[in-house]
Amino acid sequence: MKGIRFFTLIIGLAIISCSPNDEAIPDNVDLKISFSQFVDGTPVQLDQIIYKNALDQQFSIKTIKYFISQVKLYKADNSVVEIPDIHFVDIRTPETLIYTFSEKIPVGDYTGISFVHGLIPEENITGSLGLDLDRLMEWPVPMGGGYHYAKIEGEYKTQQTESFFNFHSGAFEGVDYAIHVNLLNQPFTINGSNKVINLKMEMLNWFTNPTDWDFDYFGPGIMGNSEAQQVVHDNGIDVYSFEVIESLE
Amino acid sequence: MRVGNILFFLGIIFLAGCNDKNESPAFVPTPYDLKIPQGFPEMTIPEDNPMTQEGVELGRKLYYDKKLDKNGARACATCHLQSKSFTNGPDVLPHVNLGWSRTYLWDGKISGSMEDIMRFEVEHFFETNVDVFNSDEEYKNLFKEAFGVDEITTDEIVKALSQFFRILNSGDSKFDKFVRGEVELTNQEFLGYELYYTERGDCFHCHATMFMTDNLMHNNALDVSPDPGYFAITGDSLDYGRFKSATLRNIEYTAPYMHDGRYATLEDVVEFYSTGLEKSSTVDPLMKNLSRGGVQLSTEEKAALVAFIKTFSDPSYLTNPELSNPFQ
Repeated sequence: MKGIRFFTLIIGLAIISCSPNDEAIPDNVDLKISFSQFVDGTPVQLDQIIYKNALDQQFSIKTIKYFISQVKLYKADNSVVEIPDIHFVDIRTPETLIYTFSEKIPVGDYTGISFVHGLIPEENITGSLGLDLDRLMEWPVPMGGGYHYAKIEGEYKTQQTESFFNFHSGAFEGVDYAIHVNLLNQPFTINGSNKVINLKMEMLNWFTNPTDWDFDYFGPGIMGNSEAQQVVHDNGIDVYSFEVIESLE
Repeated sequence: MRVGNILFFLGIIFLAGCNDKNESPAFVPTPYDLKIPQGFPEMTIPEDNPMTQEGVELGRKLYYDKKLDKNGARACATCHLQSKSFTNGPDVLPHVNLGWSRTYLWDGKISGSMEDIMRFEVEHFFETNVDVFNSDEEYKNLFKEAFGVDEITTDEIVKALSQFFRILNSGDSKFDKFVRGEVELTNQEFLGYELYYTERGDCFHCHATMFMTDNLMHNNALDVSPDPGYFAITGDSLDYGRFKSATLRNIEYTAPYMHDGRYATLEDVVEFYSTGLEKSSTVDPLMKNLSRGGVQLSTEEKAALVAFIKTFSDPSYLTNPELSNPFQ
């Protein structure tokens, strides 16, 4: 009987010690950033001319490719978590839609994030990101070199014309049009091992505020158009938002 | 215990003597000094197939030998002539700078490493009979020197060919010399250069990097009803009419042009991109001037673009003795 009581005690202790409520929260956790793209709050549907810009011009989206770099997470204690990696996103390549930071980040309260849509000049060097990205995103040396910051492509229909458009942005004629996005004063908490920052791009915002994009005026290609690059830059300030979610499941 | 120890060490010695294959312990090939053209990125060489002089030379011999073919009817070089930058007609893309490639053949049938495409060629295109080589004393010696094997398998043939393909590199054209600051372009060539690398001519998106190809599949608006292309490989309707972007390296030597060889001259090709685009459902949005038939170049611009594209020609590649037929 003594043996049975002792065995029961051990089992009981084991069960108590396995309670999930007692799991210690680690000081540092993995960070994932997911990238998603929307039109008027709904996930992008590729290849269909079902969207309208602020000027009521119809368009479709066939391509969304872009770089995110210089990501910073601001903690409530005024410290900053810096992510040095450059991440390439392609809506048609699912593995690019999730980024996992190679280091763990501290748990705790954060006040916001910032990042660069595109590349800072020091990192915008032809050939520096490897051949695969050169092939996809190279910006010609005669136009300043480096990389496209983003490629958004599709078709548009206006009263005048029906055409493809290549909404390609990058540094041009020595001007850095990379967009420094600050999503500050938006507190969130990292307190588990599966925290994910979902970085959302609202496509309609590329085409309005402060300038309504006129497909007829800017035409199908804008790489050599300083005015267009400036509009893309200025309109792009409010394209992004984020939310912190528990997991990607 | 002593007997046990002796048996243990004998076992270790026995196991150590068992190589993965039938490699000779004295096998020491000579490293090959692969020279990468200035301005080109490093080439990825797989650890299990390092470049060796013996391997490269054997690959070269295989490239020119009809024994590679099950029926003995053709060699690689039958359709890939050095005098034409290793091509000879529309069905065959030129063998140039493929060591940096990730997709192969017009329809993108094979993607991956050089060894992957060579395995396809050996096993499926030529259907190579390995016994032919195993019954050839000269080849047996060459394979032993290159890979240390007594019995040749498909693996060694694939590796040798891959090594030779990795030296089929062209990087000494007038354009390369211009990039290196060694020569100037003529005024006409420079106009072509500006057209090529801006959206006015808009060649650079698909014919990108120093290799003048993005290695991707595109429908470039050739036809209202295009050939299946990449669709035949993937079954994805979005891939209908998509073909690999051909490199423009040495394009002057590789006529006729397009996957079906429909254009005899570079002038024809430039005219197509200027005024001849045809709409179909999968045309790449990079063909952004589709709605007006093309980029609408002037006569002067078309001539300039052709002149610039000819600066990609590297005549030394056509006569490089390291790449030539070893049987002659």
